[in-house]
Amino acid sequence: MGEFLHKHRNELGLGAAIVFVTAVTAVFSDAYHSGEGRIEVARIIFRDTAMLGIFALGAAIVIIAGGIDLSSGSLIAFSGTIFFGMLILLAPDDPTTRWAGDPERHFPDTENLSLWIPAAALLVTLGVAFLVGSFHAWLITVIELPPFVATLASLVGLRSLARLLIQDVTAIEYGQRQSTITINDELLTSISREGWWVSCVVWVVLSAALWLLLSRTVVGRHLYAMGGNEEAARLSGIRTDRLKWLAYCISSMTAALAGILYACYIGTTSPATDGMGYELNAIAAAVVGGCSLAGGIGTIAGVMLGAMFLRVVIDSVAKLFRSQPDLFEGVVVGMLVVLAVAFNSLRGRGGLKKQFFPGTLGLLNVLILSGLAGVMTSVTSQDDKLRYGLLVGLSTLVILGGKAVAERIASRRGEAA
Amino acid sequence: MPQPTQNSAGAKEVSPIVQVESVTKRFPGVVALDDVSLHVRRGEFHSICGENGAGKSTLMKILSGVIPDYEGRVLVRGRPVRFSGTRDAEAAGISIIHQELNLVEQLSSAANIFLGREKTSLGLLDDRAMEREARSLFEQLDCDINPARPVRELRVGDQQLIEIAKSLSLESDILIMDEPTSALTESEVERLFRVVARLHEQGVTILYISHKMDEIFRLSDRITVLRDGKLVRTLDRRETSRREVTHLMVGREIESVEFGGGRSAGDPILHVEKLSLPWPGHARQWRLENISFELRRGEVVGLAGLMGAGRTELLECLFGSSDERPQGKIVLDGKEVAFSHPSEAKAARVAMVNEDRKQFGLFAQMNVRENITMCTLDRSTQGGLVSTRRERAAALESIDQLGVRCSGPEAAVTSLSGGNQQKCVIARWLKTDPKVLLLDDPTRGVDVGAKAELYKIIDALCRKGLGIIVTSSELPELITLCDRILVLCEGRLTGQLTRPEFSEQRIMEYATMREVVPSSPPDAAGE
Repeated sequence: MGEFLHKHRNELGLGAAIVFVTAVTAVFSDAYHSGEGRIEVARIIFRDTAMLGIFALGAAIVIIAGGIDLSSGSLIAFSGTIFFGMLILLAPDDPTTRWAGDPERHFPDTENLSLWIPAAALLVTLGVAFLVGSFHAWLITVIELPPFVATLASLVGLRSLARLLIQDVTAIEYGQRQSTITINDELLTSISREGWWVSCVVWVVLSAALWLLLSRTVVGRHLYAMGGNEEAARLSGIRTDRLKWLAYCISSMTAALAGILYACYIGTTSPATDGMGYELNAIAAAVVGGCSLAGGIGTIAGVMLGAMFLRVVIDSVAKLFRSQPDLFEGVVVGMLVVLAVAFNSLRGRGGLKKQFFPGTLGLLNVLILSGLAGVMTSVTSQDDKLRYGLLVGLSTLVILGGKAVAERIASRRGEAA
Repeated sequence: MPQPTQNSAGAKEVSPIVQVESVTKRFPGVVALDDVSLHVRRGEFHSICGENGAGKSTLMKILSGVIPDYEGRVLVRGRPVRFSGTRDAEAAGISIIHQELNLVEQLSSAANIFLGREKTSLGLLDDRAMEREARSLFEQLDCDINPARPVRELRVGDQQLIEIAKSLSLESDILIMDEPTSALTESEVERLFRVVARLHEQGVTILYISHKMDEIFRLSDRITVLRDGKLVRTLDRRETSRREVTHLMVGREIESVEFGGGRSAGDPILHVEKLSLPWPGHARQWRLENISFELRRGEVVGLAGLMGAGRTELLECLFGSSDERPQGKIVLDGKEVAFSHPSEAKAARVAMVNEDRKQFGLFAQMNVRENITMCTLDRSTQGGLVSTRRERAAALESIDQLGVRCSGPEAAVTSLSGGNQQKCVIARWLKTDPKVLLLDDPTRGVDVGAKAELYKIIDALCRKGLGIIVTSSELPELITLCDRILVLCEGRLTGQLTRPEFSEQRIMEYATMREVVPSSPPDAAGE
């Protein structure tokens, strides 16, 4: 029992944190005060968690294998474009509409697509994602680019490519260049409403499959080994290049799945903005979930909980301050990542006794943290922004300043002794 | 027992510049230094010798501030000091030249000499001034190095002189040299000794660490012998002999009798013919050149040679893990093979335990079970999934077989001592049921007791009919373990010795043999 607790302390801690944050939100937020509201909130959180969770799984596999994949945000935009592009290319013409420039031609009818069309589009999109992953693997294992560089190139390149492709596809089907594609098919767009569980099912099934792969198969063990010590893995006769191929393909294909779901959820694909910055959310979910960026450490359960924790906190902050959640996303993700990683690494090294504010850098950061607290309070308060900001900022300054002074006294005493 | 050093003749005449008093240093699982006391006189050339693992390097790391925490006391010029970093030691006039050089390879030699205390003018780096000064330092040392050239383009011998130049520029009067000749050619060794002799004449105190008798007896005033972390004795060079020092260093001679007796080699299992390994972009062109030899079943063949001789590279060629593809012929059990990846070698039942365990062998974040089954995990599966139960049974079997001391298969591998970690890595490979086992310096960083156990394991494996190739940085170890010893020098096979011919002297002769065969016996300086 004790061993179980120790082994899964990270997951258990995250689970407890999720329950705690939800409980606090439920007490203070109106959204939870009716039964229906509660169910609605739960649905939204699960759906958003699943969307993030799906490609966070892929990001985590690459991180566990000792690499990094920065391309998932752009790949979401790219795969959404490929998926919707394929749909309108395959869709039958709608005879009731006419091109502006050519009355003989018709727009595609995306209202009631026969089932084979989305199925084919899905296969093509996943196929393209497989190619993207293979390309990354080639750049990394054969050309020997650092993973950061190889996938950074895709991060900027794929989005741009999607924006170019969508222009040509819309020109073919609509007779004019557009930067978005909208689909009206009932079945596909239903996942934004009553079909909210679709992404959850995809997420859970995918998690189960990847859990099996990572923790119960030889390949999974080898992925951990490679992440922990790549050279030792190679010298143990493990084909590290093939493993990397697998890891980057899993990452690309999960991102593509998320991209397809995301596009269907919105009903419109817009490669200029879709999935912007999501790669960092995925990496954050993995890191908060206990993956080490050095590789070799992390679990699927941890990543699932990490994604859920991120979403719950983002949602909670938005609910408590009654404004748009996406405005808070960056700040929340940033803080959580720093806190989670700092917590993990300090815990390992008997951390809290350590000096946090040494030297000039320490003093400067007392000011930075106080300023940050003040600004955060100010932007989240409804009225009296300046007063609340100053109040919180100054009290933080007093507390941290006191800590810095105490540390200096303690260290001087230590030297004397 | 450590003998009080004050008793040696003449200690009272000159005041000691460095006093080490009852210093003890423990590492997890090993006592590296055990209550060592030592006095070094001003201006003397003091050799510290002992086998690998005797504690020489640990002692020097304490004196140079690399290791800040230890028990006991160190005094420099009569004042107690406790260095918390090499900077502190440098400020006290102590410089160290490490076995592994501490240079930034991309920077020029001048930049390296002044690293951390760069000369500036108007806030900008003054490369000219630094190069000028570096040049004058090199002149003092009587060597010709371009101060503007990046260090990576220089030979190891030149790189070492840069470290010496650095210590000169720091005006250190205590210079510690940690096995400085292990990577040098003979002419470079000569030059190094000229430089060191000159520094010695100028009154610099030199602490010279080595286990090579030739070097120790060349310039030393006094010699301190360490063994297993304890100070055995400090001797005056004029009153001792190589034999006595060697005897004190080894301290035990019986061990070699236990092994190798009654072993008989079987059929050839591995046949290597004209193996060469290219070295692109290097003046020597070949890391290994024209190497031919044979390994039989039930035979332990040792590979000896100085650092850079190509021991590791040769094993890598046989294992398919070399960076370049080797040329020549490798015949394994009657079939010609050319491995391009260790996985192919594994499939052909060739196993290799690598030199640097931490870097190339262990999976530090995994437990003992996972480390042991790494190469053979597919045997512990059921329906495609790993069965932890089977895996644990497999690990337990190895733990039993090799006597790995751990709390169980689930123990973190990092909680084990070096020797037991090494057993885990060996166990991993034994599970692959190899025909040929390649061991690259398997006892590095392993304490004395565990060494003996590893020797027994190797001997037992050999008797089971494995063909084993082993390298070691310690000649006594090869002499203990092997049936035959192949000696490499600069990538060429310069000698082969069979058991009756074994002696450190002869191996060293071959290991330093270049084009010409040396005919004169080694000089008897200092006797």
